[in-house]
Amino acid sequence: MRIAVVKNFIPFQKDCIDELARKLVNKISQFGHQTEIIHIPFDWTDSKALIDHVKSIRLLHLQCFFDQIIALEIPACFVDHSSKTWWLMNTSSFFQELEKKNLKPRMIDKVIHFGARSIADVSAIYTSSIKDREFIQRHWKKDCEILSHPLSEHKCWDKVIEKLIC
Amino acid sequence: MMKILIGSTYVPYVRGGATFIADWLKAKLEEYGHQTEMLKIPFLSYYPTMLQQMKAIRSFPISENIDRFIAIRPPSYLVKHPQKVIWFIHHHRGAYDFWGTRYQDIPNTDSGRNIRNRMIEADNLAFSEAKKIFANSHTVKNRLKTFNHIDAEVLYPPLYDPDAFYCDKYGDFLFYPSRIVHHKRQQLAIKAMKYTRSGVKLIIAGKTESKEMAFLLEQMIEKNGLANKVWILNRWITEQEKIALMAKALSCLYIPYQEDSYGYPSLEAYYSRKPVITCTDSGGTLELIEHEENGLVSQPDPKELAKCFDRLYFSRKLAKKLGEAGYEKLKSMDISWNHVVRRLLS
Repeated sequence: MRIAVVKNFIPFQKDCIDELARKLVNKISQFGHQTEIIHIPFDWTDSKALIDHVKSIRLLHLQCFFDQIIALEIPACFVDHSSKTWWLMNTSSFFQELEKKNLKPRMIDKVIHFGARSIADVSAIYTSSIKDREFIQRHWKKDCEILSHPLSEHKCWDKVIEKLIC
Repeated sequence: MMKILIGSTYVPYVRGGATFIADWLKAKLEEYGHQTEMLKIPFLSYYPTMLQQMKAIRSFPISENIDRFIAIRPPSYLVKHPQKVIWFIHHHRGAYDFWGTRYQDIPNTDSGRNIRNRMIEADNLAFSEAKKIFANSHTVKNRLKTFNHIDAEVLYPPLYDPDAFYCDKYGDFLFYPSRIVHHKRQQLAIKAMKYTRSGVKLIIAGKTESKEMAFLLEQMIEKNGLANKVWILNRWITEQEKIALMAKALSCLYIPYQEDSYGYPSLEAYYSRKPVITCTDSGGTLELIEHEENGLVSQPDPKELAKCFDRLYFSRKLAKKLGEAGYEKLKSMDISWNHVVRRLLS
């Protein structure tokens, strides 16, 4: 299969999700799939443009290039695809961060609303913490399994890959 | 030291000149001590989806805390950034110079014309925002002038490691390394082989765009009894394989239809001191390749091409002379990363 791992992209800022994406791509490749990371630009500092940006993510066309998408973050996970798995990291803290940036509650609600629209066509949802799971249940009325990411090169990656690939 | 973001679109799992130029630029900027990152955007060049994808790219928020944004393959230049520089390699040609030809890929209907007009408007807007626009050839520079009324500076793309290429001998085969797609005209090369009178052989190397294309070429070889004269390496050969094949080749063959620039195979050939055979309608290759000076320029006709193949086969001395002249021409053109880096960051 051709699988894309989708994440946010802020130039010259690396975080633990970059590392996770890199490991995930390596592990998926070991299972015989063709895979690559797709970076969706994101910028916390431009709150005015946030809504336009979040809306436009769905306009990217990945369907014909990839058999499956595994998305790791909001808002990159809003990308459109018929076979999409969310393994979301830092979901609740993403919205907390928006609040800290003084984004109006109405705008934050809009982002949550886009999430609700996008979640409708997700094949499977996983998250990495109880807090995020509660957030997803509360706002998007979806249950999801907690799938912690293996910290090291450990064999439990096999189970993670098994779950993530449809 | 500058913080530089390179932006380019691409087709996942497909390699070619557009991916090389972006990857090599990134590596070279790092060699020159700059911090660089790459934004590679998957882009489907299918007209009903293009405006939507362009809108998405236009909305990409890129922090202003970057010293330079260098956009390469269209329409990555739609990204807004105050320090945007474009190294323009081609238009979406179906909407520009191929409009009105059989290569036009947008229908000439009200809706199609509307899409085309909006694409051109979007391009013009993005060009007007750029601090500077470079073109990878005079051919592309002229198209920018004709269609967008833009004055661009020509900045020829170098090879990543030209010194890796060398000449071993002037062997008995022509070498055509390129993506195997319709407009590169590998079919024409095979047809020409049918008319050769010498023992010249042809090696085509590159990945076919489809299984159908691979089948078509194999059938052509079989039907024309060329199994002992033409070989297709239907895969991405390694750089080492390519260098070794070029080193042993009689000549390089590069006969695309209306190519944007000289094409990397031409450079690779000249760094290997090999002549290049191209066609009168091959576009950008003609900026580099001059008939009987450093290569042979043929009509895009199988019989005419076959004569060129035979001519070099029967005169290795001529092949050597033309190949060495090609190398000398490259040296005089300052196609170097030093120059590219200096201009893009100036």
